Amino acid sequence: MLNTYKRYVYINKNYMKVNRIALWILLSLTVVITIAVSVIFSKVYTSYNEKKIYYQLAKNNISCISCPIKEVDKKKLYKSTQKASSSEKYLKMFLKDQSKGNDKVEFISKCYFRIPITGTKKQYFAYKMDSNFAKYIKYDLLFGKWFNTNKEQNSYDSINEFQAIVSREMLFEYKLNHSYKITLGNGKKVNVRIIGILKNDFIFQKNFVDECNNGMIILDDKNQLNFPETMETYTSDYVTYVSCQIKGSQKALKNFWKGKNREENDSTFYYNHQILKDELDTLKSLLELAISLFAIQIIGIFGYFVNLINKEKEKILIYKRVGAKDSDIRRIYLVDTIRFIALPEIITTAFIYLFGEIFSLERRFQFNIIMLVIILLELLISSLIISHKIKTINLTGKE
Amino acid sequence: MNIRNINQKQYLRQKQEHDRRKKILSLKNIKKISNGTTILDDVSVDFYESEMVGIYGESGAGKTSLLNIIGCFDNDFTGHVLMEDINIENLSSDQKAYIRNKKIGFVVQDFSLIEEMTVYDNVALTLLFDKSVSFVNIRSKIVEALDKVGMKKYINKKIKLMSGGEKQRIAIARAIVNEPDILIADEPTGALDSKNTQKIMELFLQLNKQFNTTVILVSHDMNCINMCYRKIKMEDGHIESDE
Repeated sequence: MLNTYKRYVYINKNYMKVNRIALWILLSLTVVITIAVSVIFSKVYTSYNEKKIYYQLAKNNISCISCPIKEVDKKKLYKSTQKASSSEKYLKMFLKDQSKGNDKVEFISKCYFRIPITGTKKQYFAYKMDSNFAKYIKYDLLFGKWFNTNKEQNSYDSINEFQAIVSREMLFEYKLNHSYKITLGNGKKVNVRIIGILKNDFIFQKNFVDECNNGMIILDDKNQLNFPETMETYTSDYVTYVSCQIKGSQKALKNFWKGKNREENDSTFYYNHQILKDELDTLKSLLELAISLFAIQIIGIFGYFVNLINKEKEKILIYKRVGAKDSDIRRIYLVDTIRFIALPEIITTAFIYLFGEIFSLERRFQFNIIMLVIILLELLISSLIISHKIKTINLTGKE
Repeated sequence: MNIRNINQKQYLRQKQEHDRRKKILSLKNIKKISNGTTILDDVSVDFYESEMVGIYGESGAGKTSLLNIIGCFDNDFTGHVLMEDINIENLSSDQKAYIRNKKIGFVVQDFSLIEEMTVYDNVALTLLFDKSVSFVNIRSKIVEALDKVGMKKYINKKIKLMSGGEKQRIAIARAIVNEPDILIADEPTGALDSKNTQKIMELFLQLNKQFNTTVILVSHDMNCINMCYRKIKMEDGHIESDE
């Protein structure tokens, strides 16, 4: 097989020189577009989805979602989350509930807040939260409550079953609404019911409670959160969006959302409708740009092959006359396609995947899958063009 | 050797030898119609081992069409082409490619060489598509073929830097590098001046005599045809004379 590959490469070894300009343009285009699209895809797509939700909120003249506490059916929430655990759907459901809301004394408010972890792992989630904020928080992350780490271990003795929320990866092991027996760090076995999933990009610090609980947050008996100590337990390498619900009087909530308890430079909570719209438009344009770049790449490759095969017509005729089979000719050009187009794309994609973390590129895995599909598509397109052209070239020299 | 001074005795001796030779290619009742026009009309002809055949005739007489059928370039005809008792029209395209690679060498008027490649790379093409020839043997075979056509010293020269006569010699080297049974040449001297024409014809004669290669050439030039000891005249798609 290697011998055959060597032959194909040798036969067209001058290919690079002959089609030099077109090939360099295509190679540069491929690498630049792959990098550009991966960056846009990584940086913009997540942001776009998040901001779309904020925009929905802002359009409804609310800076947070609030709904009367009595009307929130917890079971319904969990059930809904089972079907679609994405934060977007969860929020949409709140939006729907909010429209039916009325002025009762107590409200649950839902929002996203941004946790910028820009430095080392030593920075804590809690650093932006003050006691006022903590007072209102009943739920954190998607739903559920934080585990109170300050409690003595023996205080769990009286609890028959803990509730827990798990990270998305742990769903391979745990199913929602199912009970499991787990062993705590002190060796005690406890029953845990899985009631929710954490937001996708939330990352646990390893060994934060004890080894067996990695990826799982066990809720305490009263579903209470003790701030800020608990929050300090969790760290992440990334800027992370954490959703939370806040319970309180309408007035307290209004004050809260107006930013009274916010740090001055924290602009995450309070979005202006118009600013959001502008931001969304910019992000949308960037996404459209990414799609256009992909289209340019595909069209470029398509055009290149049509042009190449037209230029190579004489060569293909000679190959046929000296006894090349159609399959040989097809493979010669496919080997070239792999060498000069697919391989740079694979290398660029692998580079993005391996080093993307340094540049905080998110969704790299999804991007790799998309690129893989595109590479296969390119190989298929080139194969079809080559096969078609080979068939149309008649050995007598007439098409 | 001068084209006009072919030894009559030598010619007759060759003709007698030819009668005793093995039949290597047989065309039976070949008919070809293209766009309603009859190109070949019931052509039957046999070719023998080690003979040198010249096919001539007016434009449109069907010479090149006949050559295309012999060379497995054209499948659009009726009749039978037997090569060593194998009916060619029943073969698959891959089997025909094998015949073109191993059994038949071709030379055409416009040389059909890849200009940007070197002499070596052009001649290597035939061998590279023949997977029975190992990579290590390719060079020695190319050198041998170039030696036969007297172009060994140009092995690394680019085709685009060569003259017409030199290019045609390289095309011949490529055609014979895999030691085919039949060498077909379609107007091989059509793009050459008289000096180069004579050189190329002498080369064909030499290949025919020294290496027993069957040469079938098509030409308008009667000087070239007269160098062949068998001449076939074609007219309006059929064989007018075969002597």
